[in-house]
This record gives sequence, C-alpha cells and structure tokens, in this order.
Amino acid sequence: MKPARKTVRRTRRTSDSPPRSEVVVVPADCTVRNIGALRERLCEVSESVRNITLDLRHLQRFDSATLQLIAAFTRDHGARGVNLLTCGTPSAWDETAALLGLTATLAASA
Amino acid sequence: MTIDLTQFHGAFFDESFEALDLMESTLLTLTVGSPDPESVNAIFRVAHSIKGGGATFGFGEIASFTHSLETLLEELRSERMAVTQPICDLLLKSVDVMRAMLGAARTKQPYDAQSVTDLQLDIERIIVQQKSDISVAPSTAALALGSSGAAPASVEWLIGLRPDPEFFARGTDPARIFRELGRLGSLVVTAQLDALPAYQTMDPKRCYLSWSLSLRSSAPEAAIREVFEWLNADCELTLTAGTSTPAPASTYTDAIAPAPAPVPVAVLPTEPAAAAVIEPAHIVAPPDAGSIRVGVEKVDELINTVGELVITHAMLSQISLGVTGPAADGLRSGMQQLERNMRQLQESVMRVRMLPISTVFSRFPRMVRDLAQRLDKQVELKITGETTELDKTVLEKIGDPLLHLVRNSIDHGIENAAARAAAGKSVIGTIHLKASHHGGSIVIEVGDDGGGLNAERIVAKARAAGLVSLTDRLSEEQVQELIFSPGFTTAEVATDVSGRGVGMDVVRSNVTELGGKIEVHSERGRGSRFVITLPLTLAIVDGLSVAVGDQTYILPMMSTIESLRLTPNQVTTIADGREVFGFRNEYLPVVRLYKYFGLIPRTRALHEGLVVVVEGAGRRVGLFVDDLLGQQQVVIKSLETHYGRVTGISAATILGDGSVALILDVADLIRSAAHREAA
Amino acid sequence: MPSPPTDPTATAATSQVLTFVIGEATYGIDIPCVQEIRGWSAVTRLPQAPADVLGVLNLRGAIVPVLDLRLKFGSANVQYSPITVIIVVSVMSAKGPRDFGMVVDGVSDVIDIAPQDVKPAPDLGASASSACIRGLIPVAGHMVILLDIDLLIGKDFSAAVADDATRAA
Repeated sequence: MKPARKTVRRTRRTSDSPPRSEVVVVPADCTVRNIGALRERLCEVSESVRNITLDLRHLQRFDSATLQLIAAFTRDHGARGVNLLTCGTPSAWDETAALLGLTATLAASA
Repeated sequence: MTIDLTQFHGAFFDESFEALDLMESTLLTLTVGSPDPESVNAIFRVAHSIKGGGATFGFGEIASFTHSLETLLEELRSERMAVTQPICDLLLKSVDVMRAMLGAARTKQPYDAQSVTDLQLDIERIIVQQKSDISVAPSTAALALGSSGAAPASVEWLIGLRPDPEFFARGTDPARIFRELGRLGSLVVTAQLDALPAYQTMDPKRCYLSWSLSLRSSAPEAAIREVFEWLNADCELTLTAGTSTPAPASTYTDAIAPAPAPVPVAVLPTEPAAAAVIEPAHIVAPPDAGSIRVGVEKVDELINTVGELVITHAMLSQISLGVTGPAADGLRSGMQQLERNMRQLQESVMRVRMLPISTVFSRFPRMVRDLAQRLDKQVELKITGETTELDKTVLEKIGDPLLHLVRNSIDHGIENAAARAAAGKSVIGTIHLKASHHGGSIVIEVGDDGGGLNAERIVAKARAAGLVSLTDRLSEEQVQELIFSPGFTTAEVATDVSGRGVGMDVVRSNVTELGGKIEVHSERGRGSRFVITLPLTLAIVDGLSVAVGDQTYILPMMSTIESLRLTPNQVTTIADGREVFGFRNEYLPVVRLYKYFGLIPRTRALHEGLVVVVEGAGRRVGLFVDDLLGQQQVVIKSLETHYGRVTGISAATILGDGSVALILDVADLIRSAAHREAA
Repeated sequence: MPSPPTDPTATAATSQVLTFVIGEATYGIDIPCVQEIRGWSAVTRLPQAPADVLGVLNLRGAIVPVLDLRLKFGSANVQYSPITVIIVVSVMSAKGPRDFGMVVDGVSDVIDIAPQDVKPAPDLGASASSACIRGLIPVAGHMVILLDIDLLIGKDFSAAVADDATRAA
C-alpha cells in the first residue's frame, strides 16, 4: 500500500505549546558516505511530535544504507503512533525499497 | 595449489587501457539517434572483459562498477533502451572513471571513490527510469522484471544473505545485487530487521539487515552464482535449490523464514578466485595473428647493439681504405656490401621502435569536444596522416606540446560563433592535425582557421615586457617568433585552459630537445599554422662533419641550410666588430667556430675556409670552419652519462677511426654566441 | 679510527690500494673503483672545460672524460708520451656509475693497507687539491697520499658544468 501523500502545512508554533508537526528535508546526496548527517537530523526530531513529513523532493542519490536508516526511523516512530508521511518520493525509491523487502516497513502507518 | 595471479596484472591493465581507448573512440563516433549495433556491441564487450578481469584479480570495485555499466550496455544493445545524448555522456564519464580506477590499482594509489559511487548510482538510476517494463507490486513483494517467469524448466532457488556490518561501507549495495537476480526470474525478497537497532542508537553506515530470497528461474546455476561473484568472504551466503513455497509475506519484520528441507546444492564460495576457473579467457585478449608484445628494454638493447655495429663498420671501412694488394678489391666491395646490409638492418631496427602517431592523435577528439563545449565554441577536428610512424620516445614526448598547441587554438585561435559569423566564416571552426614524412623527418602540423596571430598586440606586449625596444622594426616572422619567448602571453585573461602563455617557450624547448624545430605561419583573420619537424629517430643523426683546427665536429643535417665559400667582398664588418654576409635577401652574422671553441684554426681568412649556414632558435648564422669532411650518419652517444652538459654541444659520437667527435647543438650555439658578442 | 678488537683469531681488515706517481709524490686510490689502466690515446677536447679536464675519449664505446691529475696537483710541466698512463676509475653518483680517466706519470704497485695505519692529512690550507686527500700512510719508507675519488670527481665535473651554465648566461 503506497503511503498517502499529503502536502505539508506547517502548523503555527507558539512559544509554549510543543510542535505537533515537523518536516525533515532529505538532502540531494544521501548515501552511506554522508548518511551520518541525515541521522543527526532525524535525531533532532522532537519526541512529542505527532506528524513527521519526510521531504524527498531534493533526493538524487541514495542507497541501501539510506533505506535502512529510514526503515528504522519509520518503524520506531510508527510503533509510537506517529503519522509519518513522505512527499516528493523519487520513482527509484519505491523500486529499491521493494528490492530490499522494505516496502511494508516503509509504508507509513496512516 | 594457488596460482600467483599478480604476474598477469600487467597484461590486464595494458589491455584494459587499450580497450577503454577503443570504447572512447567508438563513443565519440556513435550517432545518437541510430547507433551502429556493432559499435554498441563493441562497447559492451569492453565493459564485459574488464569486469571479468576485475573479478578474477580481486579488484572488487572495478568489477562492481563495470558490472553496472555492463547492465546498462546490455539494455542498449538489446535495444530495450535507446541511446540518448545523456547516456552517451554518462558512458564517456564511465571511461574516465574506469581509467582512474585502473590507474589507481596499477600504481596502488588512492582514487576518488566518491565519484565512482556517484556515477554508478547515476547509471542505475537511468536504467530504472528508462526501462519501460518495470512493474512493482509491493503488496505481494514479488518482483517481476520482464524476465522469463514461467519457463517449464524453472527451479526455485532459496538464497540467504547475511552481510557483515561493513557491507555498505565497502560500497556494495544489496539492492543492486537483488536487481540483478530479478532479471533472472521472479524474485521474492524478505528482509529481516530484528538486528536493526533504534535509529537513535544505530550506526547508519553499518548493515544490520539480512535477507532471504526466493528466486524462481530457469537460468543456469552459474548465472545465479555470477551475481554474487565479488562478494567479500565475510558475508554469509547460502544458495539452495528447492521446491518449497516462499515464506509468507507477513514475516517481513520479524521471524526468519522457515528453511526448506532439501539438501543444499552447494555453499557458494565467495572468493573471487573461484571465478578464476571460468574466466581466464576474458583477461587475455586473443592476440591478433601478426603481432607480439615486446618489452621496451629489449628493443633498446637491440638498437644499442646495432649502433655499435655501425661504429665498428665505420672503423673497418676506414682500415680497408688503406689496404693494398690482391685482396684489396675484394675487401672493398665486401665492405660496400656490408654497408648496404648495415643500412637495411639499421632501418629495420629503427622501425621496430616506431609506432603510428594515431596513438597520440587519438586523445584529441575527446579533448577538443570537451574543451569546445566548456568554452562554448564550435570546433571540428580534422586529422590526417595518423598512420605516420615515429619513434616511441619521440611519440611519448611530442604529446604534451601538441596538446598545448591544440588547446591554444581552441582557446585563443578559434573565435566564438558570433565573431565568426560577423567575419563571414562558418560558425564551426576547424582545427587540423596533420602528420607526414618528408625526407628523413616527420612533419606534424597543427592549424586552425581562426583569427591568426595579432601582430600589433604581440609587439605591444613584447614592448611592455621589454623584449623589444620602441625603435626596433621587426619583420612579420620576427614578430611571430616573439610568441616563443618565455612568459609571453597576449591573452587578455589567462584562462585556466592554456594558462599564462608559459606554454609556447616550453613547447619549443620540448621540440628542440627531441632534435626538432617548430615554426609558425599565421595570417591575420585567416588562421595560424604551427609546423613541427622532428627527426625519425633519436639514436642516429645525419651529420655533416667539419674540421675546425685539429678537431672534428658534427653538424646535424636538419639544422644546416647550405655551405658556401665567401669572397672577401661578400663580408662586411659592422660598427661593433661583428661580421655579416649576404645570404638570400638577408644579412647573417658570422660565427668563427675556432674562437668559440678556443682552437687554432688552419686559417683565419674567411675566404680560405668555408661558411656553413645553419638555423636554430629562430635565427640563421654562418659558421666559419676550416673544411667540410663529409656527410655521414653518426650514432649519438650521450656526454651526460659520465660528464655533463656542455653549451653548444648536444652529444658525442665515435668516428671510424675510434676517436670521439662532438655533435653541435646549433640552437644552443647560436644563442650563446649571440650572448658572447653582446658581452 | 676505532682499533680492532683484540681477538687473536680475528684478522684486521685491510684494503687494497693502487699506487701511482705524479712528479715526485706517490698517491693511492682504492682498488675497487679502478676499471682499467691504459696507455695514452688522443683525447677530444671539450669546450669551456677547466684546464685540467683534457677532454673525452672512447672507452669501448662509452664517452669518458679525462682529467690530468698532474695539472690538478700543480705540476707545471706536463708531457704526453707513449708511456703516459691513464687510470680509468668508476664512481657511484646519484645518476648511476660514472667513469672517468686520470692521467698520471706512472703506475706503481698494488698494496695492502690497514685502515688504522692511515694518518689524517695535515692542514695544507683550503686548496682544491687538498680537499680530496683522505689521509697519508707510510709505505716502505715513503708517504703515500690517499685520495678520495668521489671528492675528486664530484666536485670537479659538477663545477665544470656549473661554470658552463654561468658562462652561457
């Protein structure tokens, strides 16, 4: 089941209430050699967030390590009931995920 | 028993580089819309053979990269994908990358692995994007990639892959491997994530996943093994044939799929050496019937020995001249016969070291294309005479100067499209590279139909640089000669392409070091032409022997124009004591060689000796000598081995009587004689 | 120089030296670097060479420079006659083995010397010729001056080449 794609609407943040949505922009070059940067970004995502959007529109180069990391991320947040959406998925992303048997894992719990 | 494969590395590298040259030249002539099938085939074979060799010799990254390349080329040659311009560019970039990887493997130096990975991903992406019959049905996680799925003889293969943690870091990508498998049949992939930690604690570069795959395929087992052929021995891989059903889809994230009962066919060995048994035929390219590879040292030894023969023959010749008596005639005619044989032997041996200039010229189409693109100019390169042969060493050293000349032509010679149109020229500029034999020399020409040398700008820059005074009046040739001065440039902006014009004087010194000369002919608005003349060989020179005092010197024929006996009234002494004489519409200085060498001559009177007009460093002078002794071929012997460099002398030789004669370096002589006069 | 161990069974290392005569003095050089000894033959002059470099000659196909040691060591009167001798030596340089010939008045003997018997050369001032003297050793009543061939040649020819370069400039 392909994850539903929604456009991102940034919610207004007040200084006291915690953020409810967050967007993670995945950079163009994201392979095993520079994957550390993406993981750091993912670790910055607040624990109390309800919706996370992965913006893949800029992504040009990725590999199995990228998918592994996102799979872990998706699994962990999905287990806590967070909505995980992706936008701008490149066609090769789904194909590669299928090859690695990760499609179901990467399917966001909607 | 393990064979030491390193002895084959040299041949593998040599052949791979040659194959890459072929691939490059084929790519450059490929018509994008309707490529010649045989050309695409040829390129495929290059990738395939380099892959085979790479795998056999354990060059994993090379094997992996060329494997992806081969996959793309397979799509192209089976016409499942069309050859487009971007694909051509990608393939050309692959040539560069493969050259870098092979070069690094050969010299055991590092290379830019990032660029390799990037390019490999680009290639795979383009395959995925352009292929039309890919269908992904994630709900069943089965992958059918257009290959035979229901052939009657298909077998169910169960494959387990548990990579070691460093799998990703080594540059192997399981997706690539599984994609390959998918071509062989229908594939079901199950991933095990139980070892995958929380994303906050995991090391993203390590591989925590393992897989079980089920492949239904009619392909032979060897084809399936080939997909895994360069996996590192640290990965666990099992391959079994069985007919049990694939694991149910629900076990993605958790349990390991139940293992089937059948006896395993084999545990796949993962060392590249296993492939060695199948692959040797790929490494050694079938030699063409008419040639063998010979080491350069063997050829040089041969040439040295022939050189010694020449000297010994000269010696015997000399002695035989003095022989009298009944045997004399027989001896002399025998010596003449020997001389003919020697000459033939010499020529044959020289030819062994000769290679066609195409090996140098072949670099240019690609360079011209890239450079013209970079500078946004349209340039066509015309090459003629590429079969002209020259000595290997000369060939190796002439490449850089030629490269510089061509770059200069594109950068400064050929105007941009607008300027050309305004001048009524075709928008596409032409550069021609020509090689031919002329007498005993090779002539190489680099010409363009660009704007030609700008005389005013050259003179202005020369004045600014202090090379020329305001009052000097220079002929057109002298102006053009100025470009060979060190540090000279008229480019408004030094481009990173041809730099600050330090090239032209280096080009000239490179050429003169090879015993040759370079001339420029240019016409404003029409173009420029650089003509390089080189000797056919570096070991022997055609020389004119002259006597100065009690010494014999050899003048290279290439530098001599004419020898004459002057009458007293032909010589004029000008203000500062210099002597000049008229020769073909100009006045040339006289250089008294006995003075230059500090010798006592037979005569000091110019009209009692001989003047030999020679040319070098862009100038002509008359060398005053006592006598001309003859013309002969002499074997060049270096002075620098045991002594050092001497001004005005290029080398030495051994004459027939066993004595040493010095060979003059005309250009050097002219330059230093001029300095001395000025002092 | 360190003295050898006092082990009665050990033999002190000796080296072999070729001795030759220039004027009144006897000189010596290490045998291993001697290639051959030949009689005088015509030499081709080299332009702009220092006075003691006579020129080059053909040594079995190689072009080898010839140095007149007699001129070098200050002998004013030099003759070249059929009994004049050229000693051809080989030194190791950065570029590989380099051969050259030295003209001397005559060759004497090959002798064995013990390194510990070599005495340091007295300070004769910083003249070019004294720089290549390795030491002195008494042999059968007279002094043999030991020469260091590497210093003799290295300095000499590179100086010649350097001079050339400055003269050409």
